[in-house]
Amino acid sequence: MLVEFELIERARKGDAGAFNQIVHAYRRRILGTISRLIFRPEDVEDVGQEVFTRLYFSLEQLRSPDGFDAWLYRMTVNACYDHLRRARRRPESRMADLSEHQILSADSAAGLNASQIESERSAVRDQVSVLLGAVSEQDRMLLIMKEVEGLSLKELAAIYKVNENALKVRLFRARQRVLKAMGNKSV
Amino acid sequence: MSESAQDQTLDRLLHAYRQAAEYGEPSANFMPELWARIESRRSTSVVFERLARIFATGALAVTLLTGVYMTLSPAPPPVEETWVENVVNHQLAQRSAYFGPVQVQTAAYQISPGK
Repeated sequence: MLVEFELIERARKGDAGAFNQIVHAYRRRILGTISRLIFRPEDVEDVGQEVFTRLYFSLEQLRSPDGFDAWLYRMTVNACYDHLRRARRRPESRMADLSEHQILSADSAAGLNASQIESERSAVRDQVSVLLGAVSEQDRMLLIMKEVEGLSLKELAAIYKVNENALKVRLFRARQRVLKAMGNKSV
Repeated sequence: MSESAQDQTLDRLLHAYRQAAEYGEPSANFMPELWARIESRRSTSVVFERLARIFATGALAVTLLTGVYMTLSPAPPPVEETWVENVVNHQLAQRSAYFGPVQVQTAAYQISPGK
Protein backbone atom coordinates (compact mmCIF):
# COMPACT_ATOMS: atom_id res chain seq x y z
CA MET A 1 0.00 0.00 0.00
CA LEU A 2 1.43 3.36 -1.00
CA VAL A 3 -0.42 5.43 1.61
CA GLU A 4 -1.31 5.14 5.28
CA PHE A 5 -4.84 4.13 6.16
CA GLU A 6 -5.07 7.25 8.31
CA LEU A 7 -4.79 9.31 5.08
CA ILE A 8 -7.65 7.33 3.56
CA GLU A 9 -9.67 7.92 6.72
CA ARG A 10 -9.11 11.66 6.40
CA ALA A 11 -10.05 11.63 2.71
CA ARG A 12 -13.16 9.67 3.61
CA LYS A 13 -14.17 12.44 6.00
CA GLY A 14 -13.93 14.96 3.14
CA ASP A 15 -10.35 16.20 3.54
CA ALA A 16 -9.47 17.32 -0.02
CA GLY A 17 -5.77 17.59 0.81
CA ALA A 18 -5.67 13.96 1.92
CA PHE A 19 -7.46 12.87 -1.24
CA ASN A 20 -4.93 14.83 -3.33
CA GLN A 21 -2.11 12.99 -1.57
CA ILE A 22 -3.70 9.63 -2.37
CA VAL A 23 -4.06 10.61 -6.03
CA HIS A 24 -0.43 11.79 -6.15
CA ALA A 25 0.75 8.53 -4.63
CA TYR A 26 -1.18 6.29 -7.01
CA ARG A 27 -1.63 8.23 -10.22
CA ARG A 28 1.51 7.06 -12.06
CA ARG A 29 0.84 3.44 -11.23
CA ILE A 30 -2.81 3.69 -12.19
CA LEU A 31 -2.15 5.63 -15.38
CA GLY A 32 0.52 3.09 -16.35
CA THR A 33 -1.91 0.23 -15.82
CA ILE A 34 -4.62 2.00 -17.84
CA SER A 35 -2.16 2.75 -20.61
CA ARG A 36 -1.28 -0.95 -20.88
CA LEU A 37 -4.88 -2.05 -20.70
CA ILE A 38 -6.58 0.23 -23.20
CA PHE A 39 -3.89 0.70 -25.90
CA ARG A 40 -4.92 4.34 -26.48
CA PRO A 41 -2.46 6.81 -24.93
CA GLU A 42 -4.70 9.79 -25.75
CA ASP A 43 -7.47 8.44 -23.50
CA VAL A 44 -5.33 7.41 -20.53
CA GLU A 45 -5.78 10.58 -18.45
CA ASP A 46 -9.50 10.65 -19.11
CA VAL A 47 -9.90 7.10 -17.81
CA GLY A 48 -7.53 7.88 -14.93
CA GLN A 49 -9.69 10.82 -13.86
CA GLU A 50 -12.73 8.58 -14.03
CA VAL A 51 -11.02 6.04 -11.74
CA PHE A 52 -10.13 8.68 -9.14
CA THR A 53 -13.59 10.23 -9.35
CA ARG A 54 -15.13 6.82 -8.63
CA LEU A 55 -12.63 6.40 -5.81
CA TYR A 56 -13.67 9.74 -4.31
CA PHE A 57 -17.34 8.82 -4.24
CA SER A 58 -16.90 5.27 -3.00
CA LEU A 59 -14.28 5.76 -0.29
CA GLU A 60 -17.02 5.34 2.31
CA GLN A 61 -17.60 1.78 1.14
CA LEU A 62 -14.02 0.68 1.89
CA ARG A 63 -14.16 -1.68 4.84
CA SER A 64 -10.56 -2.68 5.54
CA PRO A 65 -7.30 -0.91 4.71
CA ASP A 66 -5.66 -4.14 3.51
CA GLY A 67 -7.95 -4.35 0.53
CA PHE A 68 -7.29 -0.81 -0.73
CA ASP A 69 -4.85 -1.67 -3.53
CA ALA A 70 -6.94 -4.57 -4.87
CA TRP A 71 -10.03 -2.40 -4.61
CA LEU A 72 -8.41 0.44 -6.57
CA TYR A 73 -7.17 -2.04 -9.20
CA ARG A 74 -10.67 -3.43 -9.51
CA MET A 75 -12.00 0.07 -10.05
CA THR A 76 -9.31 0.66 -12.66
CA VAL A 77 -10.13 -2.55 -14.53
CA ASN A 78 -13.85 -1.72 -14.47
CA ALA A 79 -13.24 1.82 -15.74
CA CYS A 80 -11.09 0.36 -18.57
CA TYR A 81 -13.89 -2.08 -19.49
CA ASP A 82 -16.38 0.78 -19.55
CA HIS A 83 -14.06 2.87 -21.69
CA LEU A 84 -13.47 0.04 -24.17
CA ARG A 85 -17.23 -0.59 -24.36
CA ARG A 86 -17.84 3.09 -25.11
CA ALA A 87 -14.98 3.18 -27.62
CA ARG A 88 -16.53 0.25 -29.48
CA ARG A 89 -19.76 2.23 -29.94
CA ARG A 90 -17.96 5.47 -30.83
CA PRO A 91 -16.63 5.66 -34.42
CA GLU A 92 -12.86 6.13 -34.47
CA SER A 93 -11.58 9.31 -36.11
CA ARG A 94 -9.30 8.53 -39.01
CA MET A 95 -6.88 10.64 -41.02
CA ALA A 96 -9.40 10.80 -43.86
CA ASP A 97 -11.88 12.54 -41.52
CA LEU A 98 -9.43 15.24 -40.47
CA SER A 99 -8.96 18.63 -42.09
CA GLU A 100 -5.76 19.45 -44.01
CA HIS A 101 -4.55 21.64 -41.15
CA GLN A 102 -5.13 18.87 -38.61
CA ILE A 103 -3.25 16.37 -40.78
CA LEU A 104 -0.28 18.75 -41.15
CA SER A 105 -0.10 19.40 -37.41
CA ALA A 106 -0.42 15.68 -36.64
CA ASP A 107 2.40 14.94 -39.10
CA SER A 108 4.70 17.56 -37.67
CA ALA A 109 3.98 16.40 -34.11
CA ALA A 110 4.74 12.84 -35.17
CA GLY A 111 7.95 14.00 -36.85
CA LEU A 112 9.11 15.80 -33.72
CA ASN A 113 8.44 12.85 -31.42
CA ALA A 114 9.66 10.08 -33.64
CA SER A 115 12.92 9.04 -32.10
CA GLN A 116 14.50 5.65 -32.51
CA ILE A 117 13.45 4.48 -29.04
CA GLU A 118 9.94 5.67 -29.48
CA SER A 119 9.54 3.89 -32.81
CA GLU A 120 10.82 0.67 -31.22
CA ARG A 121 8.39 1.07 -28.34
CA SER A 122 5.61 1.76 -30.76
CA ALA A 123 6.48 -1.44 -32.65
CA VAL A 124 6.33 -3.45 -29.40
CA ARG A 125 2.98 -1.90 -28.50
CA ASP A 126 1.59 -2.72 -31.94
CA GLN A 127 2.91 -6.29 -31.80
CA VAL A 128 1.42 -6.91 -28.36
CA SER A 129 -1.82 -5.26 -29.38
CA VAL A 130 -2.14 -7.62 -32.37
CA LEU A 131 -1.20 -10.73 -30.37
CA LEU A 132 -3.51 -9.96 -27.47
CA GLY A 133 -6.26 -9.31 -29.97
CA ALA A 134 -6.43 -13.10 -30.29
CA VAL A 135 -8.08 -13.40 -26.85
CA SER A 136 -11.22 -11.90 -25.37
CA GLU A 137 -11.18 -8.52 -23.66
CA GLN A 138 -11.49 -10.14 -20.22
CA ASP A 139 -8.67 -12.61 -20.84
CA ARG A 140 -6.48 -9.91 -22.33
CA MET A 141 -6.88 -7.76 -19.23
CA LEU A 142 -6.24 -10.72 -16.97
CA LEU A 143 -3.11 -11.63 -18.93
CA ILE A 144 -1.78 -8.08 -18.77
CA MET A 145 -2.48 -7.80 -15.04
CA LYS A 146 -0.60 -11.06 -14.44
CA GLU A 147 2.22 -11.02 -16.97
CA VAL A 148 2.82 -7.30 -17.44
CA GLU A 149 1.68 -5.69 -14.19
CA GLY A 150 3.15 -8.58 -12.24
CA LEU A 151 0.20 -9.13 -9.89
CA SER A 152 0.14 -12.41 -8.01
CA LEU A 153 -2.68 -14.94 -8.33
CA LYS A 154 -3.76 -14.03 -4.81
CA GLU A 155 -4.02 -10.35 -5.74
CA LEU A 156 -5.89 -11.20 -8.93
CA ALA A 157 -8.27 -13.44 -7.01
CA ALA A 158 -9.02 -10.50 -4.71
CA ILE A 159 -9.62 -8.20 -7.68
CA TYR A 160 -11.78 -10.57 -9.69
CA LYS A 161 -13.39 -12.24 -6.67
CA VAL A 162 -12.89 -15.73 -8.06
CA ASN A 163 -10.77 -18.58 -6.76
CA GLU A 164 -7.15 -18.99 -7.78
CA ASN A 165 -7.68 -22.28 -9.60
CA ALA A 166 -10.26 -20.79 -11.92
CA LEU A 167 -7.86 -17.93 -12.63
CA LYS A 168 -5.03 -20.36 -13.37
CA VAL A 169 -7.18 -22.16 -15.93
CA ARG A 170 -8.26 -18.91 -17.58
CA LEU A 171 -4.70 -17.62 -17.70
CA PHE A 172 -3.39 -20.87 -19.14
CA ARG A 173 -6.02 -20.89 -21.88
CA ALA A 174 -5.45 -17.23 -22.69
CA ARG A 175 -1.73 -17.76 -22.91
CA GLN A 176 -2.21 -20.78 -25.16
CA ARG A 177 -4.35 -18.71 -27.51
CA VAL A 178 -1.76 -15.96 -27.64
CA LEU A 179 0.99 -18.52 -28.34
CA LYS A 180 -1.13 -19.99 -31.11
CA ALA A 181 -1.60 -16.52 -32.59
CA MET A 182 2.18 -16.04 -32.38
CA GLY A 183 2.72 -19.33 -34.19
CA ASN A 184 0.28 -18.35 -36.92
CA LYS A 185 1.94 -15.01 -37.31
CA SER A 186 5.45 -16.43 -37.64
CA VAL A 187 4.34 -19.12 -40.15
CA MET B 1 9.83 -22.36 -33.27
CA SER B 2 9.52 -24.81 -30.35
CA GLU B 3 6.88 -24.32 -27.70
CA SER B 4 9.32 -23.30 -24.97
CA ALA B 5 11.06 -20.88 -27.31
CA GLN B 6 7.70 -19.33 -28.11
CA ASP B 7 6.97 -19.12 -24.40
CA GLN B 8 10.21 -17.27 -23.81
CA THR B 9 9.58 -14.94 -26.75
CA LEU B 10 6.16 -14.11 -25.38
CA ASP B 11 7.61 -13.42 -21.91
CA ARG B 12 10.25 -11.13 -23.41
CA LEU B 13 7.65 -9.34 -25.50
CA LEU B 14 5.34 -8.78 -22.54
CA HIS B 15 8.27 -7.54 -20.45
CA ALA B 16 9.23 -5.13 -23.24
CA TYR B 17 5.61 -4.05 -23.44
CA ARG B 18 5.64 -2.98 -19.80
CA GLN B 19 8.42 -0.51 -20.57
CA ALA B 20 7.01 0.49 -23.95
CA ALA B 21 3.64 1.37 -22.48
CA GLU B 22 5.02 3.13 -19.41
CA TYR B 23 3.11 6.30 -18.72
CA GLY B 24 5.13 9.38 -17.81
CA GLU B 25 4.02 12.27 -15.66
CA PRO B 26 0.39 13.25 -16.21
CA SER B 27 -0.32 16.65 -17.73
CA ALA B 28 -0.58 19.77 -15.57
CA ASN B 29 -4.33 19.77 -16.09
CA PHE B 30 -4.79 16.34 -14.59
CA MET B 31 -5.63 17.46 -11.04
CA PRO B 32 -7.76 20.53 -11.94
CA GLU B 33 -9.74 18.45 -14.43
CA LEU B 34 -10.17 15.69 -11.86
CA TRP B 35 -11.58 18.13 -9.30
CA ALA B 36 -13.82 19.71 -11.95
CA ARG B 37 -15.18 16.24 -12.71
CA ILE B 38 -15.75 15.51 -9.02
CA GLU B 39 -17.53 18.83 -8.52
CA SER B 40 -19.73 18.33 -11.57
CA ARG B 41 -20.75 14.84 -10.40
CA ARG B 42 -21.34 16.12 -6.90
CA SER B 43 -23.64 18.91 -8.17
CA THR B 44 -25.55 16.38 -10.31
CA SER B 45 -26.08 14.17 -7.30
CA VAL B 46 -27.16 17.21 -5.23
CA VAL B 47 -29.81 18.06 -7.88
CA PHE B 48 -31.09 14.45 -7.80
CA GLU B 49 -31.11 14.51 -4.01
CA ARG B 50 -33.11 17.75 -3.99
CA LEU B 51 -35.61 16.40 -6.52
CA ALA B 52 -36.03 13.23 -4.48
CA ARG B 53 -36.57 15.31 -1.33
CA ILE B 54 -39.18 17.48 -3.09
CA PHE B 55 -41.07 14.40 -4.31
CA ALA B 56 -40.96 12.80 -0.87
CA THR B 57 -42.23 15.99 0.80
CA GLY B 58 -45.00 16.30 -1.81
CA ALA B 59 -46.11 12.72 -1.26
CA LEU B 60 -46.18 13.23 2.51
CA ALA B 61 -48.21 16.43 2.13
CA VAL B 62 -50.77 14.74 -0.14
CA THR B 63 -51.11 11.86 2.35
CA LEU B 64 -51.67 14.26 5.26
CA LEU B 65 -54.19 16.36 3.31
CA THR B 66 -56.12 13.24 2.32
CA GLY B 67 -56.15 12.12 5.95
CA VAL B 68 -57.41 15.52 7.13
CA TYR B 69 -60.08 15.60 4.41
CA MET B 70 -61.29 12.13 5.33
CA THR B 71 -61.50 13.13 8.98
CA LEU B 72 -63.32 16.42 8.45
CA SER B 73 -65.67 15.52 5.58
CA PRO B 74 -69.37 15.05 6.63
CA ALA B 75 -70.20 11.49 7.42
CA PRO B 76 -72.59 9.76 4.98
CA PRO B 77 -76.15 9.06 6.27
CA PRO B 78 -76.19 5.93 8.35
CA VAL B 79 -77.44 2.91 6.52
CA GLU B 80 -80.09 1.15 8.48
CA GLU B 81 -79.86 -2.15 6.80
CA THR B 82 -77.26 -3.73 4.65
CA TRP B 83 -77.87 -4.71 1.06
CA VAL B 84 -78.12 -8.37 2.03
CA GLU B 85 -80.65 -7.62 4.71
CA ASN B 86 -82.57 -5.48 2.22
CA VAL B 87 -82.74 -8.34 -0.30
CA VAL B 88 -83.79 -10.85 2.34
CA ASN B 89 -86.56 -8.58 3.60
CA HIS B 90 -87.78 -7.98 0.06
CA GLN B 91 -87.90 -11.75 -0.59
CA LEU B 92 -89.82 -12.35 2.58
CA ALA B 93 -92.30 -9.65 1.68
CA GLN B 94 -92.91 -11.23 -1.73
CA ARG B 95 -93.33 -14.70 -0.28
CA SER B 96 -95.86 -13.50 2.19
CA ALA B 97 -97.91 -11.95 -0.65
CA TYR B 98 -98.20 -15.24 -2.59
CA PHE B 99 -98.00 -17.78 0.15
CA GLY B 100 -99.78 -16.13 2.95
CA PRO B 101 -101.44 -18.19 5.65
CA VAL B 102 -104.31 -20.22 4.26
CA GLN B 103 -107.60 -19.58 5.99
CA VAL B 104 -109.70 -22.67 6.08
CA GLN B 105 -113.38 -22.14 6.54
CA THR B 106 -115.02 -25.16 8.02
CA ALA B 107 -118.70 -25.89 7.04
CA ALA B 108 -121.02 -25.51 9.91
CA TYR B 109 -123.18 -28.59 10.31
CA GLN B 110 -126.01 -28.52 12.66
CA ILE B 111 -126.83 -31.89 14.00
CA SER B 112 -130.39 -32.09 14.96
CA PRO B 113 -130.82 -33.69 18.31
CA GLY B 114 -133.68 -35.95 17.22
CA LYS B 115 -131.81 -37.88 14.51
